[in-house]
Amino acid sequence: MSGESVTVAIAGHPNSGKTSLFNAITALRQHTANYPGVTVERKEGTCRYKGHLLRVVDLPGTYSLTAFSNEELLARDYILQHHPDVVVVTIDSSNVERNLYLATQLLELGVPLVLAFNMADRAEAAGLRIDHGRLSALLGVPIATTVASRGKGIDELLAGIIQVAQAGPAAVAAQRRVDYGKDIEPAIAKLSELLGGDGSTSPSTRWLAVKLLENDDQVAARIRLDGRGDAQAILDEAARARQHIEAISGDASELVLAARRYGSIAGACAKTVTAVAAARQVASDRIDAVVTNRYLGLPIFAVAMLIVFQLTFWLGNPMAGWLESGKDALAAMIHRMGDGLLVSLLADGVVEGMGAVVQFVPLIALVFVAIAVLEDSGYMARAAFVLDRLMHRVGLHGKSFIPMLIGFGCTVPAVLATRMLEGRRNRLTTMMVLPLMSCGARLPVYVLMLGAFFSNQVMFRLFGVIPVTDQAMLLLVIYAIGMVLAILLARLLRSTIFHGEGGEFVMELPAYHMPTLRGVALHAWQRTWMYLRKAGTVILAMAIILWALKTWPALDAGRRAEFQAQREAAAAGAAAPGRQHVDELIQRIDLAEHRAGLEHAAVGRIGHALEPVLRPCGFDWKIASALIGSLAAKEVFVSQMGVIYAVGAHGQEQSLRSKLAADYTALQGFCIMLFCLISAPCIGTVAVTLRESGSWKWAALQWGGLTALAWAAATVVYQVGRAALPLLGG
Amino acid sequence: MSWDYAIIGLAILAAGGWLGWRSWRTLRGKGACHQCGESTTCPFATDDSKRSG
Amino acid sequence: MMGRHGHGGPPATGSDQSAGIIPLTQVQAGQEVTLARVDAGRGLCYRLAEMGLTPGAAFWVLQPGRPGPFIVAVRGARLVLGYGMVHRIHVRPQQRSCNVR
Repeated sequence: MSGESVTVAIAGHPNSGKTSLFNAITALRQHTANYPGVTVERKEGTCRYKGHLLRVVDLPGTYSLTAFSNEELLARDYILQHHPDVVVVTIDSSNVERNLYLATQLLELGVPLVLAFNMADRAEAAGLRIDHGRLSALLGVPIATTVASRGKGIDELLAGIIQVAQAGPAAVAAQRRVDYGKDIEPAIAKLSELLGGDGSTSPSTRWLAVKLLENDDQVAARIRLDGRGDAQAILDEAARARQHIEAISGDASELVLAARRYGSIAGACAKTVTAVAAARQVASDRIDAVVTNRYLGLPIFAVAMLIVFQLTFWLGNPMAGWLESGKDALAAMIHRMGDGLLVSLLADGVVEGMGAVVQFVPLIALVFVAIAVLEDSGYMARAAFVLDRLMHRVGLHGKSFIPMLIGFGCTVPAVLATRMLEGRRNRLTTMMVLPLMSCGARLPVYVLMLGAFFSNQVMFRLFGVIPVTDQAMLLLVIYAIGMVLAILLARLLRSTIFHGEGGEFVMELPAYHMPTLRGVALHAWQRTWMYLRKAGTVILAMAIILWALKTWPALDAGRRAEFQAQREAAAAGAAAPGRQHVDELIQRIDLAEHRAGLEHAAVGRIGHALEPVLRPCGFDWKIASALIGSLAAKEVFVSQMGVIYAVGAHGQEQSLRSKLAADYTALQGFCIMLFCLISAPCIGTVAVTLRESGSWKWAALQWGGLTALAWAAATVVYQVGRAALPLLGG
Repeated sequence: MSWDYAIIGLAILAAGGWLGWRSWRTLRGKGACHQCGESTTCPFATDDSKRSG
Repeated sequence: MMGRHGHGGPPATGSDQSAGIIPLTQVQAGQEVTLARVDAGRGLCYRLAEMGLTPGAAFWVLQPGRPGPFIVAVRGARLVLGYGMVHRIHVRPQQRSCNVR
């Protein structure tokens, strides 16, 4: 204990509620990574308790402290190098046996420990009775029961932490270690002696001895470096001991030690943990049997997503409508203030550009809420399993499905998550197709297109009750196309450019949880806030740039005079059809002038330059110029369409959606969605692919290949659609 | 009138400059990532200097 | 981390059969088994062990993949085993089955 502050490290399994505990102690808001295996940088926070300052570090979730995985090394190295005063191990009370494995290894390390038996409420509800007092005595470690997600038991835990911190070496001395049995303990004793038990507690010589028996390369290297006793003699003795163990048991020494640890834990649990009724777990397994069923699994997932999308549109469309009206009112208000360029910048550039994106916030937020519910409940892991099995059927092995599921939120962390995949080729393949898992940024584009071209009529009723609209259905179709393409493309890449084996992974299925309102709200809010922040920065900047591009070069005086003459002519002919008709005429002239202005300006020229390439897809110069902007961020497409269609003072009489509906057909709308789905990922994704793959070649292939594929797909669909629709009478 | 142009010019410069700078940094792999809500679980979000070692 | 096999000696299917050892791929849902052997490098073997699949550990199959990943129940937890992993695991069937239908 360093005078004033106490350093506390929190360790535990990935699904043990470790991060909730960290949050509860430090009152920080951190997002729980629900996918075990995603490397998390350590998080730090502080807490004040009864005059003590606690510096709390959240270590990556790990199952043990071996040298075989990066996260485990990370956790272990932190403890070895930074010597925290106390280590708290989060234990999932419903799963004590497995969760204590990590604790036993920490006990060996000789660090002062406190156990937090978390999710105590669930364990009790499941009918588990744990005699914490007895278990605490058996292990020699204080135990606090907590429900971190509700902040219960935290005081008790903090008191325990301070107590242990103050006791220091005495606390460690009281801790019990695993007895490995008559055939192994002598070897440990001998190695400890050779290592020169110099009384230092961390890392204790016992720990080093055990690690040597486990054939831990990192420890062996350290011993050589540190020169603790006669390094070579120690290593030789360790090798002898290992061979002896292996000869007796027929298994590698580290496996024998692992088995002994579990045996010891099982013994302690037998005395202290009683399952009064295992009903809950059986129920959970029954649900799993259905949800992961080889025939029902995928349809259930599809239905779940369909319901999610349907709810999103049903609740979100009205709200988006209000926001749009608000934006229109704001723009109109600004226009009333004057006529100059600055007004135009503010109203047609900033408000329209940002407004177009912000108006979709309710829909985006709802999708995030739904995803949070699915994640927190534990269903997503089952969905991942179902998808993995699907991918396996088409020849893709491995845990690529984890990065792919992350890719539904944002492609950037998904690319990073490929670090968990074994095999460079596997990683590269996955990286190449990840952008096809439609990320959150593309959602505004889909929603805009769906809102513009599809009537939101009910197509059919799910189970005869739940109405499903064409909007929700098509959204599901788009996501499905993305997934199918990802799988097909991955398969293609695997068989041509990349080869490889995979599928050698083991992952824990988290227990089903009832998602808490707080948890869901927190997760959804964080992501929504990120969306808004992006709107306020990248999109705002792009909107300003685009406004400039659409304003200059401006129409010359001559052409403007022409339009003015037309307006005067219309006003002069006021007598005949009536005032209303004149207004309409003038509006149309305004629109025409606006269009002329656009085409004359930079944005129009760029668009027109690209148009020939994109015409086969059914795109015109406006869409072309909007697509360029989406290189920075996919949402910018929406923003740019908003800016392009802002017709000054008359811009607000129609919604962006109806303007689009007037200009384009539903087929074109669908092709835009398709193109957006497949094409060039945003600059963030390119950057991270560049970094993770290590060369420009892959990033370029990803960007170029996907864009080419997008073009091809949109072209095919558009041409076929145009030919087929008249035949279908559509 | 000239105030208008001054403000507009500044806004455009600021927007363009900021985007360019940020793109440059992103491509070089530095800087906080504001792209998504996963930022706290995303190692990309921390500078290299802050990595645990 | 490749290295020697996690378990003593190379596999010998002849002795497997007489010892009643079968590959996990052949196990049905609801069947309880104990872990006999894993044909993999040290790293993979240990990974299984730390998750609870130690030599001789009892577990049962909830969802057999065939092809694809398996879901097994071991020491109170539910694990997903990738098919590449399942291939390498050999088990001894136990008399009891579990009624998880």
